[in-house]
Amino acid sequence: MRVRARGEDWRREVERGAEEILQALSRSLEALPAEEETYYLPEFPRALREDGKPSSEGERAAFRKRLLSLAPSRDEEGNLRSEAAGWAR
Amino acid sequence: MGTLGKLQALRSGELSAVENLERFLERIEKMNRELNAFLQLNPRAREEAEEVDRRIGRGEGGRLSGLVVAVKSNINVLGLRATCASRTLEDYVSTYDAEVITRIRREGGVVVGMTNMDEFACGSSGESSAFGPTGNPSAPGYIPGGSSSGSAAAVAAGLCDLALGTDTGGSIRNPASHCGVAGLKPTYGLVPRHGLIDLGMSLDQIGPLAPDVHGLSLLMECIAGKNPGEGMMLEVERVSYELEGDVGGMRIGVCPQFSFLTDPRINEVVERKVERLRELGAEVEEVSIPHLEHALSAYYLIVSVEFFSATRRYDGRKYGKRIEEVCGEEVLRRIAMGSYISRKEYRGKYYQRALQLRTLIRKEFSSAFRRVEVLVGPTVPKLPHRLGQKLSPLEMYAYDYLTVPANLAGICAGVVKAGEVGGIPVGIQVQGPPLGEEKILRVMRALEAGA
Repeated sequence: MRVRARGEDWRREVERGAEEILQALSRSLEALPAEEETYYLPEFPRALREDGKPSSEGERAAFRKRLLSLAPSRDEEGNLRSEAAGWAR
Repeated sequence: MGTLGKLQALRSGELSAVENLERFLERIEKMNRELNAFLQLNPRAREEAEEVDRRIGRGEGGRLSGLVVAVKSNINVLGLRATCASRTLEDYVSTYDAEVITRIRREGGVVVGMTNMDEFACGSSGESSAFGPTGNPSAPGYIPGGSSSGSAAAVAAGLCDLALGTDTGGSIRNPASHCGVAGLKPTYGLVPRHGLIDLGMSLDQIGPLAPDVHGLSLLMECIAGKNPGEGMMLEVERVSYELEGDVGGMRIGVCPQFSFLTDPRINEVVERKVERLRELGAEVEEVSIPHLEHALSAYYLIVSVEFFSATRRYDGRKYGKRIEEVCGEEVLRRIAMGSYISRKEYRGKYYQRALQLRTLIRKEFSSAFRRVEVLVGPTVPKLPHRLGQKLSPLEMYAYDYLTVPANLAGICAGVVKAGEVGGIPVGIQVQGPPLGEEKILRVMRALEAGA
């Protein structure tokens, strides 16, 4: 059952349950020995990766068309219309 | 006909790529209404198969030469819907091919369609899709497992030759076990994640499902290897596996912690297979992963934070449906857990602690792999429940007890059918060190051949 169909009370109940599960999971790790944290598995992430080959003009035009077909709003010239966030004004 | 037999028929011209595709489309037409394994079929599949036939005619069929591949709905395939089985992405049509799809097409694979899954891969049963649950063709009435439920069901029902799934905490291995097919979670960083819609970016891997171990190996040889555009990849150009080697003399580990919480009937099936490996000349040794029982807690803390972060990309949209308004219960629960941790993490109580446990688990697996070459054991600690049966969240999470450690440690792990309990398939899990795919595939092949 989806959230919208179930209503706010149900959403709050799931969120309350989530917090309880979280505390239970967290408690089970309390007594374990301290270690370094493992954030990423590869030992040498390639932060400076190579640049790929630029796509052709034709590929870019086709991609643009596909992207705009998903966009919610466009202007008369076919440009993506976006809205500035309230906090940025 | 196994994967190699099919490939031979396609290459020799005994079967065309179009005929192969049409046979599957007929079966899908008959069976998908009940199974719900596919969410969308590729309208261009026939055209693509014709092109592969022309390539085969020119001697350029590629390694897949017209084999039909199903794709989980969290992987981008140009022009098809990558919905993640969620209402929030139901109108999203992929604008590009994921790197693994580019590689499959290059090798002559034909994408037949997008498969069902647990919503945003948050689940282990295949029931939480916004588009309805997936059936289990090998055990009708029972869950197929998840989250790659549709991919496993499609392979098990003979609706495709091969399938792609993704595995963050067991999402390939769990449904492979419940549906009685083969599945592989590759070493983290071996298969490109470009074009995959994240669940947990530090844990996710795309991997193959197939009716046999040769199928897994073949698809891995097509999709694995460094993608220059990705940072989190291993320095491995391409892979090639030899499966027919002898397992005699191989050091194989069994771990008591794998069987402690596992249904004795499942342990019995697995023990018979371990005995078979002994008969083949393998040396079986007991090793310990002392903190295995804590892996599940660490996994759910990490994946909740990473999933919460991944879903923020859908935040603030003024179109479509907001994820928190249309998602199902498990997605909402994980968003709530991730949000809570993100707000309360200042004492390092949750995420940081879980990352420390991950280090401990990595060290324990590394230590085990200094003594043995692979570890074998059960895949899922309990038999699948009946479709629709209500389980508490913690009961559902318990399905992942034996699969999440491999994701935390970043190692490779595969599953092949070991037997049945009351007509329900049971898979044996073979885990290996980072880049130990050839070893685990070889053990899986030996188990499959001796079945």
